[in-house]
Amino acid sequence: MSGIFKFLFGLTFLVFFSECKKLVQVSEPINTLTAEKTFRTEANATSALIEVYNDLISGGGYGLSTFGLNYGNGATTCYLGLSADEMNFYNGGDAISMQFQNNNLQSDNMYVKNLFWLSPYFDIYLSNAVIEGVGASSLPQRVKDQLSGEAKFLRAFCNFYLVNLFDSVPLVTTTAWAHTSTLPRASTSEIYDQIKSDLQDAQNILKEDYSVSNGERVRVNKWAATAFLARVSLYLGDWKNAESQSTTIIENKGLFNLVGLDSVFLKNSDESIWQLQINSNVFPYATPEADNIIPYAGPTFYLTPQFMASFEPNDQRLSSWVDSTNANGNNFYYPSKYKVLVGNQGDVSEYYMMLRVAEQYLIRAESRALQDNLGGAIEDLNTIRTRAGLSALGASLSKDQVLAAIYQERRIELFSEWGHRWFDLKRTGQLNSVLGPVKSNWKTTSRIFPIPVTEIQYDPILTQNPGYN
Amino acid sequence: MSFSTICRRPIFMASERVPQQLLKVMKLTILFLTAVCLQVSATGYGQNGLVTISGKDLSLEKVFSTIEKQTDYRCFYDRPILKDARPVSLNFKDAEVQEVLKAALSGQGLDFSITGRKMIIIMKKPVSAAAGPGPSRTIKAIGVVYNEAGQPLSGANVTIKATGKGTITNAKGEFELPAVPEESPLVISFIGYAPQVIKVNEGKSIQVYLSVAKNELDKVVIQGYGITSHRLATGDIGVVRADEIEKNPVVNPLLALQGRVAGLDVNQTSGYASAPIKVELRGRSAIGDFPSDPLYIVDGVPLTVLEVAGNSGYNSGSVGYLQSGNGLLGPANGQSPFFNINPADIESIEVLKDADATAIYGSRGANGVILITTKKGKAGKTKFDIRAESGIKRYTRFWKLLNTPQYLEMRREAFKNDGIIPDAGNAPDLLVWDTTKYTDWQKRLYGRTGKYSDAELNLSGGDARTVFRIGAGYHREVGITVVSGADERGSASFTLNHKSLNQRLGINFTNQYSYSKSNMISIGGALDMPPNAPDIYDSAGNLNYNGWGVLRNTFPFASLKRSYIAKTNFLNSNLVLSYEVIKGLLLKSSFGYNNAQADQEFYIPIASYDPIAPNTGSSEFGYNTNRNWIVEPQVTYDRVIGKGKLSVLGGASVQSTTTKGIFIAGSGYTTDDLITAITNAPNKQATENYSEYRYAGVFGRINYNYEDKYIINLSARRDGSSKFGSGNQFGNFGAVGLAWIFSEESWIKDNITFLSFGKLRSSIGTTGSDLIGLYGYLTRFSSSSLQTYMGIQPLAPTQHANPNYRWQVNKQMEIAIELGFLKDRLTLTTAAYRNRCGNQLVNFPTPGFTGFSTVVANSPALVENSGLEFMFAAKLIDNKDFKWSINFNTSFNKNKLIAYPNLQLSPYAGTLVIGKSLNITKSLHYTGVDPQTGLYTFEDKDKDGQITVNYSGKSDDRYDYNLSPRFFGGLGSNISYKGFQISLFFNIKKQLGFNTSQQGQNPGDEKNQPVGVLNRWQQPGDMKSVAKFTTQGGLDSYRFFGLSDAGISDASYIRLSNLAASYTLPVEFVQKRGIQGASLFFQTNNLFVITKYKGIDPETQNFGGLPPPKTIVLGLSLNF
Repeated sequence: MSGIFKFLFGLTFLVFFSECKKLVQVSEPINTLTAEKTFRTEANATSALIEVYNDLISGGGYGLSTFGLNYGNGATTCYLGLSADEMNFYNGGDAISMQFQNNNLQSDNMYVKNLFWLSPYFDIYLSNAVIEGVGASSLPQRVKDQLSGEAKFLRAFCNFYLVNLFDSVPLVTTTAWAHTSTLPRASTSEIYDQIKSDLQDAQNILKEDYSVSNGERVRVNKWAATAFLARVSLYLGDWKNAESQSTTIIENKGLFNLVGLDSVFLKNSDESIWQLQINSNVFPYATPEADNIIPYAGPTFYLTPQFMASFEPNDQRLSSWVDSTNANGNNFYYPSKYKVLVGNQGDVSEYYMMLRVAEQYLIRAESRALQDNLGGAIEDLNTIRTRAGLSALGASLSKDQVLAAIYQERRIELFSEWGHRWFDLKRTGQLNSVLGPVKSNWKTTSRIFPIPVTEIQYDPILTQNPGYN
Repeated sequence: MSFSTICRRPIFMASERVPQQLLKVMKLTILFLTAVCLQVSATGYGQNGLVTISGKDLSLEKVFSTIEKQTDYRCFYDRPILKDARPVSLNFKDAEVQEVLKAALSGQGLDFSITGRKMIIIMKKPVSAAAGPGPSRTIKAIGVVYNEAGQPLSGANVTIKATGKGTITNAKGEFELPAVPEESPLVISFIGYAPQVIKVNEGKSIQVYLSVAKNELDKVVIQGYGITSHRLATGDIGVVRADEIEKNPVVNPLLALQGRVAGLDVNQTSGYASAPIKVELRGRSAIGDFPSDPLYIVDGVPLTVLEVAGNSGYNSGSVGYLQSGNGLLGPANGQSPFFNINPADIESIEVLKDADATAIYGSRGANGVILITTKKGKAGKTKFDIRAESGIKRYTRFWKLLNTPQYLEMRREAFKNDGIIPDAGNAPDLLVWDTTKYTDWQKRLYGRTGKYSDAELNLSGGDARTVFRIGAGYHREVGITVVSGADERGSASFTLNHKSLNQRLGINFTNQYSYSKSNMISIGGALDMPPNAPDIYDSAGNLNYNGWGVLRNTFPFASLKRSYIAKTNFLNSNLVLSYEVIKGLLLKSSFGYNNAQADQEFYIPIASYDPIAPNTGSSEFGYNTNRNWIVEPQVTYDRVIGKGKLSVLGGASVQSTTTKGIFIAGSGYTTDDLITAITNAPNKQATENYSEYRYAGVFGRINYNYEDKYIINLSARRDGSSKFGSGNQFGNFGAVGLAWIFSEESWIKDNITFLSFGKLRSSIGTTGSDLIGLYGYLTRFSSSSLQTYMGIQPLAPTQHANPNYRWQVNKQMEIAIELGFLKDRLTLTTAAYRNRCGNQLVNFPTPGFTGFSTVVANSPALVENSGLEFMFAAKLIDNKDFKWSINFNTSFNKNKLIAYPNLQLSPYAGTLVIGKSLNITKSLHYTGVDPQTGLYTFEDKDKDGQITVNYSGKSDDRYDYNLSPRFFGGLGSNISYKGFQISLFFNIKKQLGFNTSQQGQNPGDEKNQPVGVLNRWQQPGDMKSVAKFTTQGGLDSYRFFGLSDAGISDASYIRLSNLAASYTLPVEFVQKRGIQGASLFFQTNNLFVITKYKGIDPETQNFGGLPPPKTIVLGLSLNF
């Protein structure tokens, strides 16, 4: 019998131990690449970077419906418009949207989580993957600089919106989940330090032209970094730097100029510093933002009466950038900076505007005024007013009057763009005084969005912002 | 005049090992039975078992053949023993066979015995006064063991009753015992057959024909890589057999298991016929959101469905073969892989529960194992069976909602309470729509009568060496939804079992093929629409966007014009080759293959869109293949050692599974005519999912059965899986099982006579699980569904990578007592178990800011499931004509998180509590409506003066509610009287669940509500159960209500899951018409449900989804 046992075990163990390692070996999946392979060639590494732009404009990426709204392609405009006094939502049936308009966001608001938290953080992940990937690769230095410079800019861009919406947030600078999954909230100054350092790196290593995107203004370069640094400096109260960075852009007349109101949002307009390309081959709408705003059956996001009342007479921007629709006998006005609802395939006239020159004039005006250069401030302000067909302001205004004029001008020039109205009220401390009287549920704590509840669940050392549970 | 073979007997092959003398004896015993002319004055066909015979000087052969002709008894004898027989004169009318034989054989020196349908004629043993009984006197016993069909049984036990020693039969069923005490009979037994006690005849070969066991205790039970019986099993195995499955008109065989097996919780996830089914054995063992399915094995081939698209979940079950991703799952949210298996082809479903039963499956046994065995052919006359049934499907239960006047009253009151003046924008239901219109949307959306039809054809037969079965089935159902497609399945099965002439080589070949087509339409979550909402269609039959006015962009019925079709081809095939090298040593190899191909189509035509909006059509296609092969060489060795039988199994398993899912979306179709072909799409987008899985293991089992009294069973397995990164691929698992059949002890046998069976068994062991997605250890970049930007195809990471995760380990213990009373008319089994699952493999949640929300990892949680299971069966009445039996099972499982280091700092801090179930939900405690404010109030548990809901697990006002079922089980009863049979089966469950107030909207919103909301607060002082109506549901009071235990209530139910009645037509009646048997039957599924649940269906607990309908069918079955 022992012979049989020997045979029995011999056979099975022989089969197993001779071949077992091979038997459970599988090759790499055919439909994906490892990180190592992705950053082995310039083409693949560029593809990894390009995904950040694609994710910004297409809204895909984080399990969200492709081409849905997302913070990078219109949600910031629409929902911060609701949160501020700029826009209202026509059909009250969408309770999640109404939380923005009523300033009673809940910590389980899906839009806050998906559109304003997960989306930018996913783009940060993508950017970090590029920065780490090219860093560890043997790609030529030229490629490394280009890709990591753009990735750093994009990381800074995302962090900027996160810190302004949610205040102190986790500062994620690596893809290593074991490290990042237990991060606490970083202080806002840490986050801003990272933003500034990323933008300065980008400024130093990125090109001064748009050659990397064949002349189209759809990838960031040194000027995008400069323009954004101007805005960041303004937010931080670094007037001097804000002035100097914006001056760099304004004086670069070879690339950047104000253009006629109807041409501002056209693709590669002289006014644009950075735009996102609209791939009309796959998406029949010009921009996801326009698709959400321009009504076809009834109004959706419409401009509030108080905003409409804030236009000065003869402001050309009212006729150029506002349109209306009639519902149940009433006129509803809506932003029409983007005019194309259905794009013609292969021929898109508009790209999605990320940074533009007019903002740089307003940044410089504000930083000049705050450095008591009132004349310079009024000059910049008048540049913008003149284009809008408004009269120039006189030189006799006081500092407060100049600042008030700048905020008014920002409200009109930058309406329904990237939540400028909300952020301006917030950074200048006017939220309570401006929104308190017009929003019935306004609370001081409404100035900061809630950290999505699942994030606190999954990282229990995160704390919730005041006023939320 | 016809010829009939009296005795069938295989040719006996002499081998060198057989001594010369034995050969002689064997020659004598070789029987070739001549045909006998039947010229008996039989006066007609006797009843089954009754004989009419009269005549003078009838030869015995003639008597036997007459009996054979009139009854289904078969006569077996050695021809030479009739040489001295005298003719007999008989005169019987409708007499018992025994009576006739007794008369015919009296005084002839012959005797007979009847076993099953066999009459065996033997020589009377000469009574020798000289050779007195003495322990020293032994004789040699030789013989052959067959089953009823005359097929030799290899490995049957032959035990000398007096000494307990014995041997086993060889491939040809032969045995030889050199020294049997003369007076001691032999006990011949084989798993699945009734044991026989026979006397030994010196110098004569004994033929033993074992008949299949009729009692539950001795019926064959399939176990991992072998068979056993309830009597001999050391592990815990639940069985559901074909007769129970066939009674239930369900398309998915898993549904036939509902309530049938203690500890097995089978839950429908929706009312669609092909919908996934959630299956869980003995409680939730993992904290992750991954399906709890056991390992399914169909005829030896694992039904491995890899999760590559990430769409499956703990509560929603596995999406099956639909792995194309991008949410193209259809209205049923996936497809159960069992939708492609025809229940009519299934012989039995075994549920392996404890470590002893599952450890042989090692790494994949942790959630239990379900073995599905299909029907085989039977030797004998070729049989042809037809079965056809047809019936209807209807809704089972509606939920009473407000009618139009009540609804409008609610809305107006809500606006009044809010101080808001309704306008066309916020109240189209009050100001735009027809306020006199009423639609019961439940009825409108799923109040139709569906259809059910099923047809089965079977052909089976064969001889002693080769049997076959060919089956074909067709099933079609039309659902109850407002626009219904059909679910169809055509299936074919073929099995062939063959033994070589020398019986050593065996071939078993089984195949199932099916093609299914599900055409489904999503009803949309629109049951709670305002009752005066405009109709679905306008007067021209188009979707009524215009009627919805300003709410046209929320028109919910676009889905009715968007059909989803899934077509699945499924093949499952297994070939087992076996060769008996020497007696007891069997080499075997199983080669299995299955292939599932699922094609999906989803069309979004322009016609489904609002005509005033500029839209183009789009379509989505999914192409999924799942290919799986497995080779399992095995060796078994059986021999008798001392008074016991040793069975050893050794084997290896190598498996490979490849899954591929391609998703293609086409968009921009300018006309609906082009929509069915992706090539016509101006824009295309593709996603590809792919995975390859390899798996290898060695396993062994040693079983020693001492006198059918003490049984020890050891099993072990070492497994390797490609789901792990290098270095973590292998794991070891094993179990010990013990059984003590104490009713075999003489001190019990003699003293407790009413106890017919008593067994104590226990097992302990470890199993594992690699039930997790693939390639979690790799960084992965993919272009899947990404659009080009500036002409560049982007590449995006798809997951967090973790190279370190390892096998999950489950430690399981069980102890059980099985009792049978009054010759097993009453049986009771009680099992207690404790399973602990640690090192769990989960999709570990990571905060979204890390980039992805999960990573494959081992969780530090240790989870315990402990419980009790009871099974009771009784034959209350067991007469020849009238039988009544009942059976009952129930199980109580306690699910508990035992340990979780640093839980407070983990992602589960806010959801799990040490010492409590994994299925807890946290809720505020609702304390009624404040009579002054009319708002909901809640208990301030932490006494901080305000209601706080803290999701990070720190102090908050919520309590834990356990949503695991408290107990569940089934109660069945079968009653038969002559040809009539009626059976009932209730599926019982006690649990808490989410009710509609959790799932619905706030009363006052533009959604319909249950009529109960009319008991609302209206003015200060009102004591009511519902707060004042409001349209502002976001306010704290209303929002908290949705987070409170007001939304959790009893969801227990008793469902009549099966009621079946049948009538078998009298044999004489049908046989005159050339039919062997015929029966008419009536069957129902889910006829009613008794529940206090506040909602539609307590099992699916999904207010917007389609609840399970009831099925009522009538059918006919004919056997030829």
